Amino acid sequence: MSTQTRGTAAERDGRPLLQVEGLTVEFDAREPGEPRTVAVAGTSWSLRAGRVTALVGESGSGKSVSAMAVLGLLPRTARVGGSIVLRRDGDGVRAGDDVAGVELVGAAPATLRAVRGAVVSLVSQEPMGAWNPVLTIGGQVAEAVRAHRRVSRGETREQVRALLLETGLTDPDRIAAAYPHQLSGGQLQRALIAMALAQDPVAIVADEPTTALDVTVQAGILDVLRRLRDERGTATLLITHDMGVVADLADDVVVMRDGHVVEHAEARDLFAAPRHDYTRALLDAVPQLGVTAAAGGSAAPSDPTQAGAPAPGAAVESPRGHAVSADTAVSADTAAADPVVRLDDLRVTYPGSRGRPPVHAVDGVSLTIERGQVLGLVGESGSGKTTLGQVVAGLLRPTSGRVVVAGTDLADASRAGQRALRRRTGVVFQDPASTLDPRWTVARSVAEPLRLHTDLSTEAVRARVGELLDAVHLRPELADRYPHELSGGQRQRIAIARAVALDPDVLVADEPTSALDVSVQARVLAVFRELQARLGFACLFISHDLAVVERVCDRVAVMHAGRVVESGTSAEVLARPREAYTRALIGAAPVADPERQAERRAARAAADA
Amino acid sequence: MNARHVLRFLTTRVATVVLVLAVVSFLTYAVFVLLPANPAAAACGKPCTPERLATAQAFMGLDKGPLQQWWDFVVGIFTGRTFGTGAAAIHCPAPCLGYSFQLREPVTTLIAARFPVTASIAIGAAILWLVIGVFAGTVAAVRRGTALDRGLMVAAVTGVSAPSYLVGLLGILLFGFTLDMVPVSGYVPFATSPVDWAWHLVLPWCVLALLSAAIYARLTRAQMIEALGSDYARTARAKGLPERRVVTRHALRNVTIPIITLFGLDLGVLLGGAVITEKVFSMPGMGALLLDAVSTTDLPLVVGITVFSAALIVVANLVVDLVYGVLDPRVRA
Repeated sequence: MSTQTRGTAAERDGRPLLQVEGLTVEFDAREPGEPRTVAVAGTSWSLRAGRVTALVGESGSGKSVSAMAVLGLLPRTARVGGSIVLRRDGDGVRAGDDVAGVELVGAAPATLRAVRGAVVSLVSQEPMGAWNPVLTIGGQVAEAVRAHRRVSRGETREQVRALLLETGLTDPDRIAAAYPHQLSGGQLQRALIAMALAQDPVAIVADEPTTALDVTVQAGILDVLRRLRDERGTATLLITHDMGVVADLADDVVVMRDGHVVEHAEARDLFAAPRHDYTRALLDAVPQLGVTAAAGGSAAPSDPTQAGAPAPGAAVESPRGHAVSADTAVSADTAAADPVVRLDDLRVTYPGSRGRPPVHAVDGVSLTIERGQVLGLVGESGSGKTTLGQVVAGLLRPTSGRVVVAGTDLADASRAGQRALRRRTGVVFQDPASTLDPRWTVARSVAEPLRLHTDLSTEAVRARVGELLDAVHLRPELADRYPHELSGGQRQRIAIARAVALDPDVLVADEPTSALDVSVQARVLAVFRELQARLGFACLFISHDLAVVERVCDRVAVMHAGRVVESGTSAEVLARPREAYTRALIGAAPVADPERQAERRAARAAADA
Repeated sequence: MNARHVLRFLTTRVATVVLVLAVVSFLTYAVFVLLPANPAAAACGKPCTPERLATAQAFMGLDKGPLQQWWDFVVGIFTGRTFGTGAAAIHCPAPCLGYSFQLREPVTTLIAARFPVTASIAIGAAILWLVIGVFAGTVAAVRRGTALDRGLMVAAVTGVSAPSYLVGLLGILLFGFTLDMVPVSGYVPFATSPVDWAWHLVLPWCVLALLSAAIYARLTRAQMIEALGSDYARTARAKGLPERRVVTRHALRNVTIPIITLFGLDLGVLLGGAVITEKVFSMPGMGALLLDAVSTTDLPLVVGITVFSAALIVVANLVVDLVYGVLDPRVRA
């Protein structure tokens, strides 16, 4: 153990702070007679003082459920078995009280309440949802300060201030007086950590603490958690699906899959030599910036352009000849004759609410997308990339500027013209669950654009739907299923099939894989690339994930505060960024390699200083 | 939000209120102008010669065009009106909501006499159902799935489906006659005797509250279950707060917001007259007045009450919006 921690008894004798043995969590069936759902099937792992232990796995692996079991915060339908023992001498304060430990499984509500917040506290995923919207931040933190102790008002206020300062909020008085909706995600998450620290707990459960945040904000939050470990000796149970975050912060890693622990190792060992096949597959599925171009074929399960090999099970008709320009010709935009999408000084302005200045969501953007080209649009939340995507998709009228899509000027187009244009534009949104009508079968959803825009007969539509499902590598029998019967990846592939049903000239894909697990993301991206190569549509690919963009896109435009600050070929922008903002964006995204991530972190710190 | 924004908010809202009332009064007028009933014919007596009818119409201001009649009505609210001339002239002082030629009283006076009765019934009942409904809903949500929850919800369904005239009559029968606990009818003004006032109102309050409390209990329960399952409730529990505090301080504060919206509107509607309850308990309220006015085709009275009731609802809406700003910091921004 190389980290500096307070010398706790737990650390001295090597006994863990939290010992989980044979933990099982089952959920009652909704209907009587149905079997219970097993979320955690007898897992054993431990959390050691002064260390960050990451519980990693994909959705449904049982990682969050395990964490909530520790805090006794599972819904009432959960049945918990096994053992979770919290050492009483885990922190210095209670060192004299040498009771072996507290059993948390089946503990009385009063025991759990005494543990919650005071010994183990929670930092949860969605920073906005975790706060009560009608109470001030300061009030809610103060409540935590006073949850188990009597503290005077004045002292409470001082403690709230100190806690907010400790988590890097430099303006504690303003933050304390603010309501949740008045703060940014990063500020809320820092304040949430401050609240978790209010009772000086020995351990924090951080459930996907940075998933909802931008990479630059994420880096700051991870720094705070690292500092807590180093300075306070707080043990952290980090639940995450992001191997980059694991590499950045974790000391120990527990890999979970389908309710089982498949591997439990120190982070360095795990990344250097993953023992279990699943761990290896998980690591391989993580797209990494700069790795795509290298020989590391393992990082890309199916990548038609890389090794020159066709994608598995796919008949690639054209080997994306046009896209070669990304690597060879830097001046791609001057060479092409007629771009499919041309934006000239595009602006989208929202009027300010009551006395506030207007918001320039898109503030003078000019760009072009050539036929068959995939343009990656990257930037942080609020940079205007989604707004821009909506304009291109014809869903939003710009305030000013010219938008020419497939030779039609949006401003000049009549209603019929716009309708015709929509026919030539496909859209894929982030959340496949909410973009498919839950009461429609897959076939009906995929067929909808065909029925709206073509005169195909019922049989012809049916045949076309079959082709489309085949094109996204879905079995034809899925046509009669409903969205809830499908996995997230299958749903997104259906959304893609629907978007390309009319063989569009332009596809707008807004964070199409952000809601998916990495292994699923890899499959969906492979399907996307294959389709793009075959159909040759131009694509505006909006993503916050630079590694994904590098894999999929020929060109990249970086947006910041409504403007495009840098654009060029993917290789150029992502490998040799000119702008400081692009460099910060690239530097902030953690890579799934502890050694490299440590170096990058050091470099970032040096750059900041 | 600063004072300037509050002021602007208020001005726009009040302007909206005025506009809505203008539209409501105009539509009411339009309906009555189009109706075949003629108040002048009723006042004309028998035999009604064309001359006498014309005189009566001129006296009542019904000889003018419909738009002019409406305009006279609107102006009368602010300046008062005088019907007829000379010795026979009738003055209706501002705020004049019309003049009932059948009852020989200005509508405003009639409403002023009846409104305290209705307000007594409505406000008392509203407080009762709000307290009972929110409490029962909260208990049901916290104890959901238990026999208590099911019992409360069965009671709520029964309450929702029970017609108020039936419950009222049963209440009178049981508590009034059989048990002889409370008076069965009549109204005593608060100023005369607060105890008698409340004693006469107990039964109407309970009858009215039963129905609405059931609705509020169901709404509160649904909202509360959602709030208790929310992330912020989990955060509150993770701090080590006792469940009671999670419910009262965290969940209830959020549940109050939609409840208050409904409450304001319900109260506004009820203040316009609890027709059935007033009739069942022989209370001389606005509802009873309106019912009489309709049955005797006393058009000026109907129009006056309609506009007054609409004003109550619109004002209730405005109050809800203002309270909303206090309860929910998100709408203050």
